[in-house]
Amino acid sequence: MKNRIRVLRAEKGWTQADLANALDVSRNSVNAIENGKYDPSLPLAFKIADVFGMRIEEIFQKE
Amino acid sequence: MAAPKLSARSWRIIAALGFWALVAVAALLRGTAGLVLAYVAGVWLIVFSLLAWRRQDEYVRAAQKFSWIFGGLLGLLASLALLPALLQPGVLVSLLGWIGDLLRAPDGSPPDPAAPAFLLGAVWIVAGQLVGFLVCWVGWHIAKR
Repeated sequence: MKNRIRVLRAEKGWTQADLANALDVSRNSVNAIENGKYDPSLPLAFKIADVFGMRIEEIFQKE
Repeated sequence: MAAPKLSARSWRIIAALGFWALVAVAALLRGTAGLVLAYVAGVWLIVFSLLAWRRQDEYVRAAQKFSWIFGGLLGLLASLALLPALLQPGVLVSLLGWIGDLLRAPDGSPPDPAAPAFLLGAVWIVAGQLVGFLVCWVGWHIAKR
């Protein structure tokens, strides 16, 4: 699964640590998700979508 | 009473420091008191590890589940495979003798005859699982970077 988190985060001017704080996860988690090395659970995907004010399918796409 | 909102790392540090402190005191006391304290150390480790687990995010939990399932299983199999080597004359005494000394009562009487069985059936197996866990844990983090 690919995602646009890195781009969206850059648009907001956030660091990985900022996003990690907003999501209440570790920075390593954000890094792994951004790199497509780890697919988040559905609750975390909803949380990510909420943080960016978007729908899940606008952030995550099938490869 | 609700547990204070410490980070997972803080709970892990508390778990490890308390556990090893209790184990050190247990090793000094030896005998029945030492054994009781060793059990208390085990309970301490379980309680504070659970508190750490509750504060971890899902990525860390996924890494730990993966490492316990696959690393723990491989470590278990490896420790069983190495058991015949451990049973060779002299090997068990030289490798795990220090644990036998800890199990010896303060009055110098010989340790419980069940001690070697405990060392081989529990300590050795758990140690193998821990090594397997650590190898998988490190591998997971390298792979996910």
